[in-house]
Amino acid sequence: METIVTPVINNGVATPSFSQYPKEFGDSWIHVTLFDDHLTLAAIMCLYINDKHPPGTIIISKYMMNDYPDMHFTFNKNFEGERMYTNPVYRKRGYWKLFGILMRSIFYNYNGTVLESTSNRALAVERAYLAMVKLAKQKDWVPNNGRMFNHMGSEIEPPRDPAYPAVWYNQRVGGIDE
Amino acid sequence: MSNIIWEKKMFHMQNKNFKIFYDTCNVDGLINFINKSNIDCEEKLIFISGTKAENISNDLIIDDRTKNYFTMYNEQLLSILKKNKLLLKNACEHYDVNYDKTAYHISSEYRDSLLDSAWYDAGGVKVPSFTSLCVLEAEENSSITIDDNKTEVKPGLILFFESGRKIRYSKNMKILSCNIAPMSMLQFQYPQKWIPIT
Repeated sequence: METIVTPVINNGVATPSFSQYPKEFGDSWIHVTLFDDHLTLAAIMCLYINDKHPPGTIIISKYMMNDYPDMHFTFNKNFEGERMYTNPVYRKRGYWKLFGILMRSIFYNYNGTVLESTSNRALAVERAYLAMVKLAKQKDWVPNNGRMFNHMGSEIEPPRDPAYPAVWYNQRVGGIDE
Repeated sequence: MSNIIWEKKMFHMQNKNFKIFYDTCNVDGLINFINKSNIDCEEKLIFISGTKAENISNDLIIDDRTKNYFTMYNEQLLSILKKNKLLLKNACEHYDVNYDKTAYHISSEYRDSLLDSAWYDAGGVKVPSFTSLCVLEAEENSSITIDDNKTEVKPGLILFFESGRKIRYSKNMKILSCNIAPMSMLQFQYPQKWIPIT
Protein backbone atom coordinates (compact mmCIF):
# COMPACT_ATOMS: atom_id res chain seq x y z
CA MET A 1 0.00 0.00 0.00
CA GLU A 2 1.38 3.41 -0.98
CA THR A 3 2.51 5.68 1.84
CA ILE A 4 0.32 8.74 2.24
CA VAL A 5 2.15 11.88 3.35
CA THR A 6 0.06 14.61 4.90
CA PRO A 7 1.59 18.08 5.29
CA VAL A 8 1.76 19.25 8.89
CA ILE A 9 3.16 22.55 10.14
CA ASN A 10 4.50 22.32 13.69
CA ASN A 11 5.48 25.71 15.18
CA GLY A 12 6.24 26.94 11.69
CA VAL A 13 8.28 23.83 10.79
CA ALA A 14 7.07 21.51 8.05
CA THR A 15 6.97 18.03 9.65
CA PRO A 16 4.70 15.87 7.48
CA SER A 17 2.72 12.99 8.88
CA PHE A 18 3.13 9.52 7.38
CA SER A 19 0.33 6.97 7.10
CA GLN A 20 2.92 4.22 7.73
CA TYR A 21 6.64 3.60 7.83
CA PRO A 22 7.29 3.63 4.06
CA LYS A 23 6.77 0.17 2.67
CA GLU A 24 8.30 1.53 -0.53
CA PHE A 25 11.72 0.83 1.02
CA GLY A 26 10.87 -2.83 1.61
CA ASP A 27 12.28 -4.36 4.77
CA SER A 28 14.40 -1.57 6.18
CA TRP A 29 15.46 0.25 9.31
CA ILE A 30 17.28 3.41 10.24
CA HIS A 31 20.50 4.06 12.15
CA VAL A 32 21.45 7.57 13.27
CA THR A 33 24.86 8.44 14.65
CA LEU A 34 24.89 11.62 16.74
CA PHE A 35 28.53 12.55 17.13
CA ASP A 36 29.90 13.70 20.46
CA ASP A 37 33.16 15.07 19.13
CA HIS A 38 33.41 14.85 15.36
CA LEU A 39 35.40 17.70 13.83
CA THR A 40 32.84 18.73 11.19
CA LEU A 41 29.68 16.67 11.56
CA ALA A 42 26.78 16.62 13.98
CA ALA A 43 25.12 13.49 12.66
CA ILE A 44 24.85 10.94 9.93
CA MET A 45 21.54 9.28 9.12
CA CYS A 46 21.44 5.92 7.42
CA LEU A 47 18.86 3.65 5.87
CA TYR A 48 19.60 -0.07 5.83
CA ILE A 49 17.53 -2.17 3.45
CA ASN A 50 17.46 -5.60 5.05
CA ASP A 51 15.53 -7.45 7.75
CA LYS A 52 18.05 -7.28 10.57
CA HIS A 53 15.57 -5.18 12.55
CA PRO A 54 11.78 -4.85 12.25
CA PRO A 55 10.72 -2.25 9.64
CA GLY A 56 10.46 1.17 11.21
CA THR A 57 13.18 0.54 13.81
CA ILE A 58 15.27 3.64 14.43
CA ILE A 59 18.50 3.32 16.37
CA ILE A 60 20.03 6.53 17.70
CA SER A 61 23.60 6.05 18.82
CA LYS A 62 26.97 7.69 19.16
CA TYR A 63 28.52 4.76 17.29
CA MET A 64 28.82 3.82 13.62
CA MET A 65 27.66 0.51 12.24
CA ASN A 66 30.27 -1.64 10.50
CA ASP A 67 27.84 -2.35 7.64
CA TYR A 68 27.76 0.22 4.86
CA PRO A 69 24.29 1.79 4.65
CA ASP A 70 22.15 1.70 1.54
CA MET A 71 21.46 5.39 1.93
CA HIS A 72 23.21 7.96 4.04
CA PHE A 73 23.01 11.65 4.71
CA THR A 74 25.66 13.62 6.61
CA PHE A 75 24.74 16.70 8.62
CA ASN A 76 27.10 19.49 9.61
CA LYS A 77 27.15 21.18 13.01
CA ASN A 78 24.11 23.25 12.02
CA PHE A 79 22.22 20.10 11.04
CA GLU A 80 22.37 21.09 7.40
CA GLY A 81 22.52 18.11 5.09
CA GLU A 82 25.73 17.86 3.09
CA ARG A 83 26.58 14.54 1.48
CA MET A 84 23.96 12.11 0.20
CA TYR A 85 24.57 8.60 -1.06
CA THR A 86 22.41 5.79 -2.40
CA ASN A 87 23.54 2.24 -3.06
CA PRO A 88 23.64 1.99 -6.89
CA VAL A 89 21.19 -0.92 -6.66
CA TYR A 90 18.51 1.36 -5.17
CA ARG A 91 18.96 4.52 -7.21
CA LYS A 92 16.20 6.26 -9.16
CA ARG A 93 13.43 4.84 -7.02
CA GLY A 94 12.35 8.10 -5.43
CA TYR A 95 13.44 7.01 -1.95
CA TRP A 96 15.03 10.32 -1.00
CA LYS A 97 11.87 12.37 -0.96
CA LEU A 98 10.38 9.94 1.56
CA PHE A 99 13.51 9.31 3.63
CA GLY A 100 14.48 12.98 3.84
CA ILE A 101 11.18 14.32 5.11
CA LEU A 102 10.57 11.25 7.30
CA MET A 103 13.78 12.03 9.18
CA ARG A 104 12.87 15.72 9.36
CA SER A 105 9.56 14.89 11.05
CA ILE A 106 11.08 12.30 13.36
CA PHE A 107 13.98 14.47 14.44
CA TYR A 108 11.95 17.56 15.07
CA ASN A 109 9.59 15.61 17.30
CA TYR A 110 12.50 13.70 18.91
CA ASN A 111 14.54 16.66 20.15
CA GLY A 112 13.40 19.82 18.35
CA THR A 113 16.16 19.70 15.74
CA VAL A 114 15.18 21.07 12.34
CA LEU A 115 16.96 19.22 9.55
CA GLU A 116 17.59 21.34 6.50
CA SER A 117 19.83 21.39 3.46
CA THR A 118 22.76 23.64 2.69
CA SER A 119 22.37 25.93 -0.30
CA ASN A 120 25.40 24.24 -1.88
CA ARG A 121 23.57 21.51 -3.77
CA ALA A 122 24.68 19.70 -6.89
CA LEU A 123 22.03 19.13 -9.53
CA ALA A 124 21.11 15.58 -8.52
CA VAL A 125 20.77 16.67 -4.90
CA GLU A 126 18.75 19.71 -5.98
CA ARG A 127 16.20 17.45 -7.65
CA ALA A 128 15.86 15.31 -4.55
CA TYR A 129 15.59 18.37 -2.30
CA LEU A 130 12.87 19.98 -4.39
CA ALA A 131 10.93 16.71 -4.40
CA MET A 132 11.09 16.69 -0.59
CA VAL A 133 10.02 20.32 -0.34
CA LYS A 134 7.09 19.71 -2.66
CA LEU A 135 5.91 16.61 -0.83
CA ALA A 136 6.13 18.33 2.54
CA LYS A 137 4.63 21.56 1.20
CA GLN A 138 7.52 23.33 2.90
CA LYS A 139 7.31 27.08 2.32
CA ASP A 140 10.60 28.26 3.83
CA TRP A 141 12.98 26.18 1.75
CA VAL A 142 16.64 27.02 1.03
CA PRO A 143 17.42 28.25 -2.51
CA ASN A 144 20.40 26.85 -4.39
CA ASN A 145 23.55 28.98 -4.33
CA GLY A 146 24.22 28.30 -8.00
CA ARG A 147 26.21 25.12 -7.67
CA MET A 148 23.56 23.17 -9.55
CA PHE A 149 24.46 25.14 -12.70
CA ASN A 150 28.15 24.36 -12.41
CA HIS A 151 28.18 20.60 -12.65
CA MET A 152 29.99 19.19 -15.66
CA GLY A 153 28.00 16.22 -16.86
CA SER A 154 27.43 13.47 -14.33
CA GLU A 155 27.97 14.22 -10.68
CA ILE A 156 31.08 13.05 -8.96
CA GLU A 157 30.34 10.26 -6.52
CA PRO A 158 30.60 11.31 -2.88
CA PRO A 159 33.62 9.94 -1.03
CA ARG A 160 33.20 6.45 0.36
CA ASP A 161 33.49 7.58 3.98
CA PRO A 162 32.27 11.19 4.17
CA ALA A 163 32.29 11.07 7.96
CA TYR A 164 35.99 10.09 8.17
CA PRO A 165 37.46 9.21 10.70
CA ALA A 166 34.10 7.56 11.37
CA VAL A 167 34.16 4.69 8.87
CA TRP A 168 31.82 1.93 7.75
CA TYR A 169 34.41 -0.78 7.32
CA ASN A 170 32.32 -3.54 5.78
CA GLN A 171 32.25 -3.88 2.00
CA ARG A 172 29.81 -1.77 0.05
CA VAL A 173 28.65 -1.82 -3.57
CA GLY A 174 30.86 0.87 -5.06
CA GLY A 175 29.40 0.70 -8.54
CA ILE A 176 27.56 -1.49 -11.00
CA ASP A 177 29.61 -2.57 -13.99
CA GLU A 178 28.08 -1.47 -17.30
CA MET B 1 43.82 19.45 6.99
CA SER B 2 40.15 19.66 5.98
CA ASN B 3 38.21 16.51 5.26
CA ILE B 4 37.91 17.35 1.55
CA ILE B 5 41.62 18.02 1.01
CA TRP B 6 42.48 14.82 2.86
CA GLU B 7 40.04 12.84 0.73
CA LYS B 8 41.58 14.14 -2.51
CA LYS B 9 45.08 13.36 -1.28
CA MET B 10 44.14 9.80 -0.40
CA PHE B 11 42.26 9.32 -3.66
CA HIS B 12 45.25 10.29 -5.77
CA MET B 13 47.95 8.49 -3.84
CA GLN B 14 49.05 5.36 -5.65
CA ASN B 15 50.82 2.68 -3.72
CA LYS B 16 53.33 1.23 -6.15
CA ASN B 17 54.07 -1.64 -3.80
CA PHE B 18 50.57 -3.13 -3.83
CA LYS B 19 50.62 -6.82 -3.05
CA ILE B 20 48.07 -9.49 -2.19
CA PHE B 21 49.14 -11.93 0.51
CA TYR B 22 47.75 -15.46 0.52
CA ASP B 23 47.22 -18.35 2.88
CA THR B 24 44.85 -21.31 3.18
CA CYS B 25 42.80 -22.83 5.97
CA ASN B 26 40.28 -25.56 6.66
CA VAL B 27 36.72 -24.23 6.40
CA ASP B 28 34.76 -27.50 6.39
CA GLY B 29 31.45 -27.04 8.18
CA LEU B 30 32.17 -23.42 9.05
CA ILE B 31 29.19 -22.05 7.14
CA ASN B 32 26.85 -24.25 9.16
CA PHE B 33 28.44 -23.02 12.37
CA ILE B 34 28.10 -19.39 11.30
CA ASN B 35 24.48 -19.82 10.18
CA LYS B 36 23.55 -21.47 13.47
CA SER B 37 25.26 -18.73 15.44
CA ASN B 38 23.34 -16.06 13.57
CA ILE B 39 19.94 -17.50 14.49
CA ASP B 40 20.79 -18.78 17.95
CA CYS B 41 18.35 -17.26 20.42
CA GLU B 42 17.13 -17.62 23.97
CA GLU B 43 13.74 -17.26 25.53
CA LYS B 44 13.02 -14.65 28.13
CA LEU B 45 10.10 -15.16 30.52
CA ILE B 46 8.71 -13.10 33.34
CA PHE B 47 6.96 -14.28 36.43
CA ILE B 48 4.59 -11.84 38.11
CA SER B 49 2.47 -14.07 40.29
CA GLY B 50 0.57 -17.29 40.20
CA THR B 51 2.11 -20.45 38.79
CA LYS B 52 3.10 -19.46 35.31
CA ALA B 53 5.85 -17.41 33.77
CA GLU B 54 4.96 -15.64 30.54
CA ASN B 55 7.16 -15.37 27.48
CA ILE B 56 8.11 -11.77 26.81
CA SER B 57 10.69 -12.20 24.06
CA ASN B 58 12.92 -14.51 22.07
CA ASP B 59 16.24 -12.72 21.82
CA LEU B 60 19.11 -13.37 19.47
CA ILE B 61 22.21 -14.25 21.45
CA ILE B 62 24.46 -12.25 19.21
CA ASP B 63 23.87 -8.58 18.45
CA ASP B 64 24.73 -7.65 14.90
CA ARG B 65 26.10 -4.28 16.05
CA THR B 66 28.82 -5.86 18.16
CA LYS B 67 29.21 -9.28 16.56
CA ASN B 68 32.70 -10.56 15.81
CA TYR B 69 33.01 -14.16 14.66
CA PHE B 70 36.48 -14.39 16.16
CA THR B 71 34.96 -14.20 19.63
CA MET B 72 33.04 -17.46 19.05
CA TYR B 73 34.49 -20.69 20.33
CA ASN B 74 35.45 -22.46 17.12
CA GLU B 75 38.78 -23.98 16.14
CA GLN B 76 38.57 -23.05 12.48
CA LEU B 77 37.77 -19.43 13.26
CA LEU B 78 40.67 -19.41 15.69
CA SER B 79 42.89 -20.78 12.95
CA ILE B 80 41.70 -18.10 10.52
CA LEU B 81 42.44 -15.45 13.13
CA LYS B 82 45.99 -16.79 13.59
CA LYS B 83 46.53 -16.89 9.83
CA ASN B 84 45.38 -13.29 9.56
CA LYS B 85 47.83 -12.34 12.28
CA LEU B 86 50.71 -13.84 10.30
CA LEU B 87 49.52 -12.23 7.08
CA LEU B 88 49.32 -8.91 8.88
CA LYS B 89 52.91 -9.27 10.06
CA ASN B 90 54.03 -9.97 6.51
CA ALA B 91 52.04 -7.04 5.18
CA CYS B 92 53.44 -4.67 7.81
CA GLU B 93 56.96 -5.72 6.85
CA HIS B 94 56.20 -5.17 3.19
CA TYR B 95 54.63 -1.73 3.70
CA ASP B 96 57.12 -0.71 6.39
CA VAL B 97 54.50 -0.35 9.11
CA ASN B 98 55.51 -0.95 12.71
CA TYR B 99 53.52 -4.07 13.59
CA ASP B 100 54.42 -4.03 17.29
CA LYS B 101 53.58 -0.41 17.92
CA THR B 102 50.39 -0.24 15.85
CA ALA B 103 47.54 -1.52 17.98
CA TYR B 104 45.82 -3.46 15.23
CA HIS B 105 42.29 -4.76 15.67
CA ILE B 106 40.17 -7.00 13.46
CA SER B 107 36.45 -7.16 12.67
CA SER B 108 34.63 -9.85 10.72
CA GLU B 109 31.47 -10.14 8.64
CA TYR B 110 29.87 -13.10 6.89
CA ARG B 111 28.82 -12.32 3.31
CA ASP B 112 26.72 -14.78 1.34
CA SER B 113 25.11 -12.55 -1.25
CA LEU B 114 27.58 -10.86 -3.58
CA LEU B 115 26.81 -9.41 -6.98
CA ASP B 116 28.96 -10.41 -9.93
CA SER B 117 27.81 -7.26 -11.74
CA ALA B 118 29.22 -4.84 -9.17
CA TRP B 119 32.49 -3.78 -7.68
CA TYR B 120 32.93 -3.47 -3.94
CA ASP B 121 35.31 -1.71 -1.61
CA ALA B 122 36.02 -2.06 2.08
CA GLY B 123 36.57 0.84 4.44
CA GLY B 124 39.84 2.19 5.72
CA VAL B 125 41.08 3.83 2.50
CA LYS B 126 44.57 2.23 2.32
CA VAL B 127 47.57 1.17 4.42
CA PRO B 128 47.70 0.99 7.42
CA SER B 129 44.23 -0.53 7.02
CA PHE B 130 43.84 -3.95 5.43
CA THR B 131 41.08 -6.22 4.16
CA SER B 132 41.05 -10.00 4.43
CA LEU B 133 38.72 -12.28 2.49
CA CYS B 134 38.44 -15.93 3.50
CA VAL B 135 36.53 -17.96 0.92
CA LEU B 136 34.12 -20.35 2.60
CA GLU B 137 32.24 -21.59 -0.43
CA ALA B 138 32.70 -20.96 -4.14
CA GLU B 139 31.69 -22.59 -7.40
CA GLU B 140 34.30 -24.04 -9.68
CA ASN B 141 36.23 -21.51 -11.77
CA SER B 142 35.37 -18.66 -9.41
CA SER B 143 37.72 -15.74 -9.00
CA ILE B 144 38.18 -12.58 -7.01
CA THR B 145 39.79 -9.59 -8.71
CA ILE B 146 41.43 -6.89 -6.58
CA ASP B 147 41.89 -3.85 -8.83
CA ASP B 148 43.41 -5.63 -11.86
CA ASN B 149 44.81 -8.63 -9.99
CA LYS B 150 42.73 -11.75 -10.59
CA THR B 151 42.95 -14.75 -8.27
CA GLU B 152 41.27 -18.11 -8.90
CA VAL B 153 39.65 -19.09 -5.62
CA LYS B 154 38.63 -22.23 -3.81
CA PRO B 155 37.16 -22.72 -0.35
CA GLY B 156 39.80 -22.11 2.29
CA LEU B 157 41.79 -19.47 0.42
CA ILE B 158 42.59 -16.25 2.28
CA LEU B 159 43.40 -13.05 0.40
CA PHE B 160 44.95 -10.23 2.44
CA PHE B 161 45.51 -6.76 0.94
CA GLU B 162 45.38 -3.06 1.72
CA SER B 163 41.93 -1.51 2.10
CA GLY B 164 40.25 0.74 -0.40
CA ARG B 165 40.95 -1.41 -3.44
CA LYS B 166 38.19 -2.39 -5.88
CA ILE B 167 36.96 -5.93 -5.34
CA ARG B 168 35.07 -7.90 -7.96
CA TYR B 169 33.56 -11.36 -7.56
CA SER B 170 33.20 -13.46 -10.72
CA LYS B 171 30.27 -15.33 -9.17
CA ASN B 172 28.32 -15.24 -5.93
CA MET B 173 30.29 -16.91 -3.15
CA LYS B 174 30.32 -17.11 0.62
CA ILE B 175 33.12 -15.35 2.40
CA LEU B 176 34.30 -14.24 5.80
CA SER B 177 35.21 -10.63 5.17
CA CYS B 178 37.55 -9.04 7.70
CA ASN B 179 38.85 -5.55 8.25
CA ILE B 180 42.11 -4.87 10.02
CA ALA B 181 42.75 -1.35 11.29
CA PRO B 182 44.76 0.46 13.96
CA MET B 183 42.91 1.17 17.17
CA SER B 184 43.36 4.88 16.50
CA MET B 185 40.94 4.53 13.58
CA LEU B 186 38.18 2.92 15.64
CA GLN B 187 37.05 5.95 17.59
CA PHE B 188 33.41 5.71 16.57
CA GLN B 189 33.06 1.94 16.36
CA TYR B 190 30.74 -0.08 18.61
CA PRO B 191 32.54 -1.58 21.61
CA GLN B 192 33.28 -5.34 21.22
CA LYS B 193 32.94 -5.18 17.44
CA TRP B 194 36.71 -5.31 17.03
CA ILE B 195 39.26 -7.44 18.84
CA PRO B 196 43.03 -6.98 19.16
CA ILE B 197 45.14 -8.93 16.70
CA THR B 198 48.62 -7.84 17.79
